[in-house]
Amino acid sequence: MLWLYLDFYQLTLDAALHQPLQTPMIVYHPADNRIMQCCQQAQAAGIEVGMGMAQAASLSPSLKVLNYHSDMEAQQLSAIAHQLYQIVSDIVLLPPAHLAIRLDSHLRYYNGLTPLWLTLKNELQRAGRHYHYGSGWSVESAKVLARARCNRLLAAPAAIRQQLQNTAIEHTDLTDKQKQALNRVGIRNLKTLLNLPATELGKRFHNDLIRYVCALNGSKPSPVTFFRPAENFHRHQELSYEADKTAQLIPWLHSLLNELMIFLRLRNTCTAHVYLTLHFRDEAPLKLDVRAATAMAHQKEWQALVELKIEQIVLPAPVVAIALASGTLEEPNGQSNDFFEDRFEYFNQMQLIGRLQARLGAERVLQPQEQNDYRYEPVPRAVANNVSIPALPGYPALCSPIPFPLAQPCRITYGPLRLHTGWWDEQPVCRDYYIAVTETGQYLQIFKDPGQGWFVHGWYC
Amino acid sequence: MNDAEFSLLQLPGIWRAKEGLNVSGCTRQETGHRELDKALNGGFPPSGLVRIRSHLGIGELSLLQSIICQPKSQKLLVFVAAPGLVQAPWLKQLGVDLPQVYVIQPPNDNEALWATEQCLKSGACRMVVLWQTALQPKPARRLQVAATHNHTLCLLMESLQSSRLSLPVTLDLALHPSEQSLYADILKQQGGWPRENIPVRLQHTPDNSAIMKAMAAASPIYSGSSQAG
Repeated sequence: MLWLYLDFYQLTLDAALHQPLQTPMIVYHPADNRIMQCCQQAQAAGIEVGMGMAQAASLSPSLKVLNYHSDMEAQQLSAIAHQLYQIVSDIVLLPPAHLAIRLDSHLRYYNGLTPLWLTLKNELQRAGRHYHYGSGWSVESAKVLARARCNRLLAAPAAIRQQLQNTAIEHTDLTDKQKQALNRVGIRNLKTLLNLPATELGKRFHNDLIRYVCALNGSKPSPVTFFRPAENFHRHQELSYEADKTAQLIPWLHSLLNELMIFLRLRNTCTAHVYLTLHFRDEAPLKLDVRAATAMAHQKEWQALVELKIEQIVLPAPVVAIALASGTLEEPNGQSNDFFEDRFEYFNQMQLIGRLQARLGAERVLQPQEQNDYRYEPVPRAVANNVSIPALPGYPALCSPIPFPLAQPCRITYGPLRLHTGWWDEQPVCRDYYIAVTETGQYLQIFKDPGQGWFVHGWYC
Repeated sequence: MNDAEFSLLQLPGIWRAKEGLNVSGCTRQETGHRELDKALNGGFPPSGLVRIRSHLGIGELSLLQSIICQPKSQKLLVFVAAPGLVQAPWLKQLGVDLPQVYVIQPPNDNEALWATEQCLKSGACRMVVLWQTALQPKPARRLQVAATHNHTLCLLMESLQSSRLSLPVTLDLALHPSEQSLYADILKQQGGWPRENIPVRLQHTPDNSAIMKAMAAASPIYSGSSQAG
């Protein structure tokens, strides 16, 4: 058996970080007076996990503080499990923030470990989750490696054994009392513990410890309960800030609707009814009922309807949380057969990209992205955001990675278009761009560099 | 008509040369160019391997805008081994949904063929565009079978500089520039006759005609110089 253990170490933070923040954000456990999670900006300010509130507040004057609730993390975890259930079926939920996934049963389907792992990784990355992971022959051994932040996918038993033996005993699930008892007989690291025969341990120690060591060894795996997706969809989302305008609710709704779509796709159903509840701090929650003429399963369709509904209402107070539930689930009717096609494609797309990346390398499988810069070549400091700039007339279909000298006679049909930009970084550009036609009818994007002559940069395919 | 002949004509891949393929059963994709659609029995085939021979940059992809961008489809559009970097703003101007586009830059021709075949076989793509020179008949046959079985269109872009090999394709097109815009030659098509010199009007780049007109109106001197240029 091969298990993967995922430790989502900043689940509350990931759920809250839908949009880039101006201020550092931390997750705080009031009962323990302990910082549980902190974002990159907070880390840059010197805040660390485990600090007290007073220390954190003294390090950064403007902190955004979220309270830690373990049941909220468990909800998030269940959402992740629903999402991953599309890729792998053997998932074990370990609330509040851990998942164990059995990998060996899917190796044949995915044609190897690397494609399977890349598919999982892509899905988690798409959802914006941060995690540490480890792999082992049992849930327990994978857990120890994940806790030690191994972050490598080991499959060979020898490699797993070696990695386990080099791990400190603190990362195991042993209680302090058990550790003390082991310490008293001279067992101070995992290597000696794992090398002891179970009968020897049995003479001195309690059954619990023997059971745990056997599970760690992989000789006797402990029973697990696999995750089953819920019968009905219901999600509750606390907002990271109080929203007093309905427009601020839209991004949260998008992610909830996306989860609903995944849920529906998984069960081959659609719904004609969605319940949306807005929670306020003091006032009674506002219940909204969104109905569609026919049962739908596409996110875009529902998004448009819910946005229309949301725009109409006036908020009596700032919203602190939203909840989304599906109405009665219906079987899709025969006429909308594209519903099945879509479901089929989603799996295939995930699988295809994983397979291509595994053989060619992730850097050879790309998605074209818009950049908020007028230069035609990729700009070094990745500005691949979705802020669009006004389009220039006539973009070439293909651009040469490096412009090359123009060598054939041609006639200018359009231009000039002067680009004078990038003086603030390493790629300053001052060029006059033209469109030219060669004698063979090719439309080229050419430019004139001051003093250096004419170059071809792109083709209008 | 005897029984044997009649049953043969029931097969979807068999047709009488003088009548052409009965295309009422399968949906053709219109290119939006009337003359070309007429010559192609209504448009592009919905699946299979289609070869397009042309020089790079005469508008060979913009010509097929209506086939490349299908806003309703959720499937992927994949570009394999493009001779340059595919520009996102161009795709957006065509009307393609960017998250559905993948660009694969394989290290060599064999990997490009492998990647294309994987994309076709996965059933997750609606169209794969492959740039390859001198594709041999055997790999072409593989792509053709993969594309037809999975109802995917595979465009093979080939340079006019390479010599033309006869390939098992659904449609074989060649594009030449003309005074007006483009001529399309149908070299081979399943269920129809080849045809040459089909005029296609295409305006895929902006031009300076607006400036020329304005200048000509302002002064007769400029109108003379623009004709000379």
